[in-house]
Formats: sequence, structure tokens, C-alpha cells
Amino acid sequence: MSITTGSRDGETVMKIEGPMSIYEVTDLREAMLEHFRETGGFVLDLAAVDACDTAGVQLLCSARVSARRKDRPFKVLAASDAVIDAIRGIGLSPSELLD
Amino acid sequence: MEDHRAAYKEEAQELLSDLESGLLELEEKPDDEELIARVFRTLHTIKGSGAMFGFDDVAAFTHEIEAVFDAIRSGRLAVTKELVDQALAARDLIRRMVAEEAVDTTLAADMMGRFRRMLPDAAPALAAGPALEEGQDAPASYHIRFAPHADLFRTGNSPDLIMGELRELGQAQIIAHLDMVPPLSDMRPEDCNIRWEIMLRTGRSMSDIRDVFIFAEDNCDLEILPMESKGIEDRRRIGEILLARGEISAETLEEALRIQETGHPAEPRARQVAITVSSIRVPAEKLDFLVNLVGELVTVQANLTRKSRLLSDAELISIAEEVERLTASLRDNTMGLRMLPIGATFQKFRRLVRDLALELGKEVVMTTSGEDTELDKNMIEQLNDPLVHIIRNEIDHGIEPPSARRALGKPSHGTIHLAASHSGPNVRIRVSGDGAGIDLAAARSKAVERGLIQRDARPTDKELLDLLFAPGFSTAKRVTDVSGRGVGMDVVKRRIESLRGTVDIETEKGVGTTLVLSLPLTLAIIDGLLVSIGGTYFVIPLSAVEECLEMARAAAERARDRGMMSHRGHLILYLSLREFFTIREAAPAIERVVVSEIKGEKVAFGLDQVIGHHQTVIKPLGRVYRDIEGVSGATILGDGSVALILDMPALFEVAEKKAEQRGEAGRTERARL
Repeated sequence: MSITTGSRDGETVMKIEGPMSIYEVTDLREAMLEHFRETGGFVLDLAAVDACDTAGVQLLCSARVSARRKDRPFKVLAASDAVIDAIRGIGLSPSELLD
Repeated sequence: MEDHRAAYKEEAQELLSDLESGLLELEEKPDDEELIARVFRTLHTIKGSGAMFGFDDVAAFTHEIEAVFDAIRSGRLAVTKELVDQALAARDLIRRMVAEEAVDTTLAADMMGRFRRMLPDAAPALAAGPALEEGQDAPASYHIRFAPHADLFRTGNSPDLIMGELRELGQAQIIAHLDMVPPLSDMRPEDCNIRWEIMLRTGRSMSDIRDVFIFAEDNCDLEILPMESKGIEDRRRIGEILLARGEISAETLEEALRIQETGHPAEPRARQVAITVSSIRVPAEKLDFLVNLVGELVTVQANLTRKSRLLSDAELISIAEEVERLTASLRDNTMGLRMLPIGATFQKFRRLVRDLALELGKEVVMTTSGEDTELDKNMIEQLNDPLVHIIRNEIDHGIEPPSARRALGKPSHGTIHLAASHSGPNVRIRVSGDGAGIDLAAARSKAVERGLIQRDARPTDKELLDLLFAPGFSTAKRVTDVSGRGVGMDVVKRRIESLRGTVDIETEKGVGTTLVLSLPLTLAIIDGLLVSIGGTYFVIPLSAVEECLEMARAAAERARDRGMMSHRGHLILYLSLREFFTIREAAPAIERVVVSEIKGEKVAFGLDQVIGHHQTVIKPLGRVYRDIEGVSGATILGDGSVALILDMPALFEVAEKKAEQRGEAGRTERARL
């Protein structure tokens, strides 16, 4: 799992590569919290996430809750099939979660 | 609670109207699924809220009908004419229950039994389904609640795998609840904070389902409940339960049902814009009160305008004019609040037409146009009875039986067309039937027989048609339960006139009859001409005023004696209002005369003074004064005095009667000219 932060169209984008599973979520949470403190929101690129489980989806949900509570943006620019399938797999709607 | 009960009653009456129109439509389109669903939903709401507000009888009774429509929805039962008949009868009974009127309990029980017997045996549709795979029972539905403990992930369980396995068992609708997921700062990412609710339809056994959770069982709360099997409709109910408990959103439910019915999710679509509620329910009394207040404001404003002119203070006049402008706008807007489209009233007649046609063995279709035409609410209420009379009359006497119609080369079903339109300050309502039309020759001989006209009289067609409105007149050859007793048309006419409207008949023998009702937009305000006689004020509705004349006292006295005056080379009826209202003050040297045209005939009214245009808020007369002839209401003038509003059609009749009392001379004299 690797995280890179870059700028795209004037926004700071957090790009996650590799798996997003129960084994990564603790580290991922730390990284996301820091990103949130620095940029005040989430603009995520999940196109290169190659595996995702329920814990990964739950982390995304949690990030979304954080952003919403503070009225900050939560945006997913792209998501891989692995992410979409995981979201759909547990009975959520990708469009609702990632809009 | 009482408030809620009253609100329920009101809502239920509306729902019952919807139900009625839905059922009538269903009779014509028995396969319309959307319509079936609408009827079902209406019944469901009546039942549900009935139970909530303590109308247990309504809930229990409606339940049986709802069950039948449930069966229709799932295709296990077809809509028949008989079923619609029963449902309409049931609807009437529910209406009585809601209104808390006395209801025959054996009748209700009977009806419930009839609906119960209509139901096909439980789930026979399944027997006709495809052959089941070996090792499978008939599909059944299960409601599964799966609430993992926080440590579920750490025990190596992954809910996405569990859900995958459930999907392999059958049709699964999975709903994830995220409400317990905390923000990042508060969360432990290895804890599971999501709960699930699953509706599963499978042929597998309960233990097969339980096996899916075998590794998770110690780390979760699990509940698997079998549901009664009745197909997709039950899943809808589960959805509704969840919806009611706030566990899922309406969109989620719709989506879930779609997936279950079609097997795949809907194409991603733009989120539907929530429809905001843009209307509120206000009791009619509040509106009436508001109208009254506005009426009083108009009066005060008139007083202010008058006073400001008297004082000729420019500043005050400009204020008064501003107040006048605002008052006028306030008045128009307030009146607008009470305006309702007439469509709902038209819809009510569908049932009447249907039942009546059935009873009389005729085929009648009702069509409408101009349903959006708006009329004052009070006016609409008062129109109901006259319209019922007119429609009954047309179906009973106008529309021929199917065989007779076919013989005449007409379509076997008759048509009643109700049309509403605006025509200047009036609303015109036309009730047309393509029946036999009115036999004028028969009308004539009947009028002679009744002594309404002389044997050798040669009345015009219009005069003959006017006779139809005479009390006790009916051209029907037979008396039926429905009409033909000669009561009706005179009542219709009187009622319409009391609404300051007119009725006209257009008829062509063999082709049909049309009744045209012309009515003012509102009952509350009229444009009038303010006049006075010996210090007493009267208002003549401006719509009845043709012209104003002056007449010297001698000529006026002559006119009064003859009940006639000469006007532009014609003799017209004349009525001295001074004499009619027995006003004793001395008459002026020059009398004013207002000429009106009523029912196509000119009539002159003698009075003292014409003051001018006056827009009037009509106040009903008190009980004591209600029956005074020639007066339809009262209004309060700017200076606080009262003016009576003249009932022109009634005064016309008085003038006519007086002329006749003075011998037939009047008529013949007029005829000569």
C-alpha cells in the first residue's frame, strides 16, 4: 500500500495504491487523518486500489462522516473495480458513497 | 387525539374520493397495473392511518378489501365488473364508518366475507412455477438481521464474503446500516461498526442459511426469521416496515424492490429532487373569517375614500387612494384563496352516472372538459345538487336505451359531457347529453293540460322551454324513481338564481339537450349600482343594468298604474320599487329608471336616485329577513349604513305577475308592438 499526495486542478489529491484491507486500515487511517488536518477535506484517487474488503469500505465511510460533519468536501475522483465491487458487495450503493 | 381524529376524517374523505375515481377508472381499464397499485395504496393508507387513530372498524374492514387488491396486484386475481361493484359498495360503507354514522354490522360482516371468499387459496401461483431443483423446498423469504460485534474483522471474518455466500443461496436484498460508523478521529479501523439487514428469498433451508454465518456466529448478533411466502408483495411490506422504523430510506426501498423484481440494479440516475410540500391545509372557516375581515376592510376603506374627498386634502386623498389600491389587491387575493377547480366536483358525478345508467339499463359515458376552471368554494358546494338533478334528468329522460339508440343510428352508449369555461366575469357550465332532446310539441300540450298556457296560445320555443322550469312541470311519460315527478327543474332554476346565475336550455329533438348554467365567479362580492329610494339604499347587480333614464313624475305615475312604460318605441315592463318596498317618503319631481335585461326581456325599475358604481361585499341576510321577496342580501356602506341587494330575477317575476294581474292587457299590448 502506498500513498502519494499531489496537486490536480488546484486540489490536493490523495492517491492510494495497492490493497485497502483490514491489514492496512490502521496505517491508512493515520495517513488520512493527517491529510484531513492539512488540506481540510478529501479528494481521493482510488483508481489504483487493487483489493478492498469491508474494513476498507468502512474506512471510506468514516472519512466521509468526518468531512460531512465539518462541512468539508469528500470527493472520489476515481475508483477501481475492486473498490466498487466491495462497496456493492456489502449492500451499499457506490454512487451514494462516492459522489 | 381529537384533533388528529378530525384530521384523519378529513384526509380519509379525500382518500375515499380518490378511491372512488380510481375504481371507476379501473372498471374501464382493468389491466392497468399502475391504477391497481394506486387503489391498493389508497386502501393501505386508509387502513393504516385508521388503525393509528382508533378507527379499528375501518381498519379491520378495509383490510379485507386491501387483501383482495393485494392479490390483484400480484396477478392472482383479475378485476371484474362485479369486483368493482363490491369495492364501490365497500367504499361507501367505509365512508360511513369514517363519518361515524350508524353502520349495519351484519352488512359489514357480509361484505367482509364476500371479499374474503374472492381471495384465491394461499399462493397457488407458486405451484405453477418452474420445477424446483432437487434438495430445494419451495422458495421462502427470510428476514436476516446481522449485527457483528466490534471484533468481527479480527477473527478473520469478512462480511463481504458472507454477503457473497448469501447471494449464492437465492435472491438477496442487502441493506447496510452505516449510522454507527464514527468519524476518523473517533474510530478504531479494525472494529466493525456496520450492521446489516438482509431479505433473502431462497429454496434452501434455514440451516443452510445459518451455515453461512457459521464462523461469525460467536462474534455477532444474528436473527433469521422466516416470512410468510406471498411473493414480492411481502417484501414490499418488509420494506415498508423498515421504512416506518426509519431503518432505510425510501430510495433504498425502491431500489431494493427493483433489484428483486428485475434482478439487476437500476441504471445510475440523477438523484431525484425531493418534492417539497408547497401547500398547507387550512380549515374553510378560517378562510371565511378572512373574507369577512376583508369585507369589513373594504367598507372602512370606502369610508376613508369618501371622507378624504370631502376634506379635499391632497395628502389624505393620496393615502386613501393607496389604501384603496392595496385593499383591492388584498380582496382579490383573498377571494382567490377560496377558488377551487371544478374538476373534483365533475369527478364525483362519474359514480352517479355509472350507478344511474346501471339502474336504468342504459349505457352512458361521461366526458368532461375545462376541469381547471376555478370557482368560489362556496359556489361549488351549492352547485352540487342542481347538477345532480340535471344529470339525473338527462340520463333518465334524455338518453335512450341502447336498443333504441342503435335503431336510431346512434352509438349504443349515450354521452354526458360536462364542460366548464370562463366567460367574462362569469363561469359557464354546460351539461350536454346526446339523448332524445326535448319534444316541444309534447311540452306544449302538457303546458296546456296544466293550464300554464291557453289552448290557442302560440308560445315561442324559448317560452316553451322556460315552462320546463315551472313548478310541477314534467314532460316525462312515466314517473321513475329517478325523476319525472315534476320536482326538480324548478328547484334547479331557483337554486341557480339564488346564486345570481341563470339557466338556459338548448335542445334539438333527436339530437340532444344542453343545459347552460351561467354563474358569477364568487358569491362574496358583486359589482353593483348603488341607488336610493327615499333615504333607503339599494344595490343593483351591475350585470343586470342596461341603462339609466330619467322620467318626470307624471310619466312615472302613469307607468306605475299600467305596469308598463314606453322605451325606445317598445312597451316594457315597469315596476316601481318605491311601491314594491312601500317606501312612504315623498317622491322626487324627476324619477330615475334603471332598465335591466332579464331572460331576454327588458324591464324597468323606478327609483329616486342613482348614486354610482359600488363594489359590494355581500353579507347574508339574517334568518328573519331571509325570505323577503326581491332581496338577495345586504351590504354595509362606507358610512356604516346598510344597503339591500336586489334580487333582479325575482323582481322581474313580480313585475310580470303584476302586469298579468292588471289583465292580459299588458301581454297583448306588448305583443302588438
